[in-house]
Amino acid sequence: MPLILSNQVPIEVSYIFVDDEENRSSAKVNLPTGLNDIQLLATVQELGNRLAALSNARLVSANATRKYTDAVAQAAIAPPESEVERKGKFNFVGAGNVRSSVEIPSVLLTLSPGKSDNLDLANPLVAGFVDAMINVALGVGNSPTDDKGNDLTTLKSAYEMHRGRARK
Amino acid sequence: MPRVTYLFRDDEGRVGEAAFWLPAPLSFAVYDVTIIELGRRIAALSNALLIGAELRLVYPFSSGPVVLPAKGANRLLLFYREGAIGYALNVPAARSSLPYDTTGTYAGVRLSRDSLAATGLLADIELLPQSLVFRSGDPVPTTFVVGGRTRSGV
Repeated sequence: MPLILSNQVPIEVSYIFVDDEENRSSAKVNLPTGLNDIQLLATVQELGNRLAALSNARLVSANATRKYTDAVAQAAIAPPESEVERKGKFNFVGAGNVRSSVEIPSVLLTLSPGKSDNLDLANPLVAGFVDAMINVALGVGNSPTDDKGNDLTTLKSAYEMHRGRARK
Repeated sequence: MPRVTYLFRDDEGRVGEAAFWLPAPLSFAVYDVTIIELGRRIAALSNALLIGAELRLVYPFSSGPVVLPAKGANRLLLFYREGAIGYALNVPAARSSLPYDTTGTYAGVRLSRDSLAATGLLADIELLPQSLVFRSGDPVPTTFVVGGRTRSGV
């Protein structure tokens, strides 16, 4: 079962306020999942204006989070060979020549055959992911970017690594 | 830039993340399709369970003077109530110019409904929860501000 937009969890919005000492604090609200992008923008702006009028710190941004879930996966148990601290790291560069990395938890061991840590780029699963990241498999203009909004154009490297960044 | 984070869980219950940036602005319908399709392809590379994803959108603001520090300053709690259901909205660095009560035990910290109404602020504040929901998805009461008060800390 694929991910679906959760209709059980509302959109969480955190309004970030900053004071003259650069301390940050937030006001948090929940908005209905059913808002579309235009409605959410309008609601976030309107609420932000009214909140800012009550505070003498500076309102600098609002962070809205939409959540997707897979109910079947939520209820399942992962196989014993799964290990989220084992990552498949993909290093891309974009039009601005800025590196952008993605680390996929518990990458399949079969994707790095032999003694090498390098992921097999000819593997159809790897190729399918890379194609979605740097080409137009998702539609023109819809593919991931670097943090400046530059389209990712090239895969520089892909390998398996271990890193302890799991949360319980 | 919007950022999507995929959440994976292994057999020991540990959760790992895969995250990257997405272009902006796109409609939610396009984000939904993109996130679900990328999720399908990412999940195929992992033997942990892809249990969810989060799309984080950032809306910039630039408003308001900086006068008092939020740290150590008063927060403003605005209370809404409709029947047995209540909701408190928490605002950092409450303005000292708000119409706080001037007498009684709560002088300087409480905002009564009457004082809000007298200054014309009530209409604005009452509109704040118009579209808010609880984490359960149930709507926050929309009709009745019972007042507000400040408390220390951030």
